[in-house]
Formats: sequence, structure tokens, C-alpha cells
Amino acid sequence: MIRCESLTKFFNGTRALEECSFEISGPSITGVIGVNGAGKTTLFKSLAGFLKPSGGNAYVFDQPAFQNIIAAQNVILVDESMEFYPGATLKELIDSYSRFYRNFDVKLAMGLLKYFNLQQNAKYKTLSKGVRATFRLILGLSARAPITLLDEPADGMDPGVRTDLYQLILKDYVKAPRIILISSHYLGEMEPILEDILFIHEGKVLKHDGLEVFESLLIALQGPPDIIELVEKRLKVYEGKNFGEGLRRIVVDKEAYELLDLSEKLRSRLTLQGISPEGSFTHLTRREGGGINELYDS
Amino acid sequence: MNSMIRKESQLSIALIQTKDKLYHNINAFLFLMILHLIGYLISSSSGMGYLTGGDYFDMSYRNFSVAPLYVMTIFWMILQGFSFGEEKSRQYYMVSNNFTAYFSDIAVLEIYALTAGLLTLFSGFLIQVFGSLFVGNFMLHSLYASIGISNYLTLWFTGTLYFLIFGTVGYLVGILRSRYRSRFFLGLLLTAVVWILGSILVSYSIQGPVSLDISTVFRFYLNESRFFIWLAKVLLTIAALYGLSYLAVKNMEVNR
Repeated sequence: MIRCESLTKFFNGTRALEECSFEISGPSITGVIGVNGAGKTTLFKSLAGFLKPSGGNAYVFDQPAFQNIIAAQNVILVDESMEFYPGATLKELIDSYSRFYRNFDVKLAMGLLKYFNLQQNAKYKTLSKGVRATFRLILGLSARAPITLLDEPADGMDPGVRTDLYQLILKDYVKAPRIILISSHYLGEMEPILEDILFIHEGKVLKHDGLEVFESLLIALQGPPDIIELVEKRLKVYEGKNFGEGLRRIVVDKEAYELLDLSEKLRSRLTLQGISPEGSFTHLTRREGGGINELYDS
Repeated sequence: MNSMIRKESQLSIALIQTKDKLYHNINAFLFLMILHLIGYLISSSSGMGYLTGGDYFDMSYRNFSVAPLYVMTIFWMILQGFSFGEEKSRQYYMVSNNFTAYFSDIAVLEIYALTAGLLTLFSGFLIQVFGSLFVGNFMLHSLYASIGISNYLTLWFTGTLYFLIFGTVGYLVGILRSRYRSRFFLGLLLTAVVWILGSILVSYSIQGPVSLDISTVFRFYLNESRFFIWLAKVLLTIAALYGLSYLAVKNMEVNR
């Protein structure tokens, strides 16, 4: 249903996406994870047909997405830069969207307005940042587009509403299964509803897999410094910390550790601990070299 | 998958956009009426107008000119066209592509031109009706009162086409500004330089009263007495502007 083949996008010579390839062929909730500037929004805009790829292509229903009217009818992109007529009320905007998105559920939209205490006659431009985000989400979910792209949907929302938000997305997905992509740099809060993760870093797709794969991506090894040192010499270490004289803890790739040529006797002296997907994401996207401590200690 | 895949034609999407744009821009007509009222006030200073007794207002005297009305309507059309063109960078509609957005813009501009043509003839009567509610006897002018149906139709038709030209010029400029942003003003400057140099070169190379100033452009249309030649000139101009606008909007990205 959606596919990117070596999708590349440059803005005035600056690379936003580089050779991105992945495919989602059936209903699922996928978290698009990456730090700020990783290329999440550019990817979403490319799938929505807003941006012309500099190389490769983004496909929706096997058709190039850029300026494609079939893609436009079946994809809704909910992001902060959604534009509405300045004088339009929320009710008018719902009516307007229901004319364009033929799957639009007006009853659901009105129910959600009521649930979130939004006045039908309020004008979008008069709403606060968080309430605007809530209204955009109401439109995005009520549109029931086969491909729903939610770019940082919780941005600016109150903590209470953020909790409701993911519950709401899940409920709506169960009611109308479709492809939902949610981008965020906070994996933890949306983890409970995700099935897959698309991990983007510096414009590249680093990994696209099920949530369970990310749950066992990195591990923490804890043990005597001499054994840890043996591992450190042969594997990439994402983080290392000393706990007093006789204990050191490192974070490494689980698969690489399992393949490491290390005797069972030595392995048995190490304690293994899983790293959460959010923790893995933090380690994998951390800038190499020169941490904050170095900056202040130099 | 429970969400049905939709495959509406570009035309049906463009029609929905046209209706939606008209609905959300309905205030534009109120703005036009205000401009017409200002036009009448300007006319009163150039013509003869007087106000007496608090219940009688008359601007229908002798030298009244409708030119300010046309100037105001042209200004309105350029502004509307420019707004639609410039909105391309904002894209109010998710279900859209450059073709449907362009098509609906053009359709709305044509409806605007038709309405503007009609209002230019009849806004005086409308304002008179509203004016009569506040002032006992409210008279603006009676220039269109007894010109006959064929003259009404001719004025409406010609007015519509002229207004459409100005609206489309505004639209083209709006799209170019939206698309090229910082380079737009450089483009304007270059166009002005090329225009001036061109008119100098033409006046040197061709003997006789040929120049490329604005009044020459207006005379090209206004001095044409043969109806079909005039119609061809106007329609070709509109077609050329439509073509240029489409080229400018084609492959344009949505940079919100």
C-alpha cells in the first residue's frame, strides 16, 4: 500500500532523506522514530504527495505519490502546518473535510469535539496550541483515510490529553483498521499501541521491524572490568559506566554479543539486562564523541 | 481494511474545491461592494454631488463618471487573483493536486469576473436600496437606468472578460511570488528592465508612433472596433495567461 524505493530528498543542497526504502502492505500502527531533523516530516510529506523526490520515489497504491489525486484522497497528513481558512469555525472545517474525505465520520468528529470540550463555533485560529493539535487529530482520525499519517500528534498537548490520545488512536484503529504512521521522538509514551517501528536517523531508514525486535536490540552487560574490557575491545559499545572498583556496565548490540567468541565460563560471570526500545533508540541516535561531560571538563 | 479506497476523478475533486472556495471566500463580495461605495464617493468629488436637508442625497448630477467603479473592480479582481495564486504555498486542501487547485482557482476567478461584471452595472441600485433605508431619498446615478437589455448584456460581457484578464494577471503574479519567493522581486526588476530596454529598442528600430508603454497595451484592446478581432485578442490573452499560470503551478511542491 505504501512503498519507498531509494527515496532521496534534498532542500537547497541539504539532504533530508537518503536512499530510504521500506514497505507497509497492510493495516498496522507503525511508529516512525527519529530525533529532530531525522527526516520524519519530509518522509510524511513525500508520502502525502506534497514533495517531489530528488531521487527514488514514494508510492501509494503502487502509484508515485507526488501530486497524485488518488494518493491525495486516501492519505491524510496531520501535522502542525495544516492550513485552514482563517475565519472558519470548527464545525465548518469538519463539514468541509467531510466533503473531501468520503470515509469521513462526522458523528465521530462531533462526538470527539464534545469529549474534548471544543466549541463547534470556535474559530481554529483562536485556539491554543494544544487545543489546535487536538482538533487536527480529530480531523485526522475522523477522515478514516486508508493511510493516516500523524506527525508529532501529541506536540503541545496537556499530559492528560496525551494519555487519551494514544488510547483514542488505538480504539479508532480497532474500529477501522488501516495504515497509521505516527512520528515522535518520544517512543516510550506510544510504545503500548505500536506494532512496528520505522527507525530513521540522519535521513536514512536504519531499521523497519516489529516492536519485539526493538525490545531485544541492545543489551546491558554488567560484570568485572577485565571481562567487560574483553567485550569492549571487540564490539561497538553504546555506553560504558563504572560502578566502583569491581563493576563495569556497558551497552552493546545483542546479536553481536551472541555471535561473539567468548567462553561460557566468562559469559556466566556477566549479568545481562534488556534495554527498552526507547533506551535503544536513545543509544543508537546519540552523537558520537564529545559528550556533555567532556565539553565542561575540557 | 475497513477504510475504503477512494478513486474520485480530478474533475469531481476540482468541483468540490470550487464550491468550498466560494463558500469560504463569500466575504470577497462584501469587500467589492465597499470598494464600489468608495468608487461612488470618488465619483462624487469628480462629478457634482450635494447633500441637503438631511434626508436627500444625490450624486446623479451631470458629470458623474463610472470609471472609478471599473478601477475599483479591477483592483478587486487583481487582489482576489493574487490571493488565490499566493495561497498555493499554503494549500488549504489535503485532497488536492496542482491541477485540481489550478482548475478550481480559475473556475472561482471566472465566477468572480461574471459577478463583478454584473455588480459593476447594478451595485448602484443595490447601494441605493440600502441607502434609502437610512436616508429618505438616496440617488447615486442613473447612467444604467435606460440603456436597454442589449447594452446591459454587452457591458456585462465585455466587463467580465476585462475583469478576468486582470484577475488572471493577479493570479499569475501570486503564483510566481509563491513559487519563487525571494527571487520573485529580482524577476520583477528584470522584467521592468527588459520592458524598458525593449521599448527603447523598438522606438529606435521602427519609424513611427510605436511604443511599449502601458497605454499602448490598453489601446490594443480598447481601440479595437471590430468585435471578433477584439474577442480574439481578449480570449487569446486569457488563454495565454491561463497557460503561463499552469506552467508556473505545475510540479510545484506544497511547502507549508
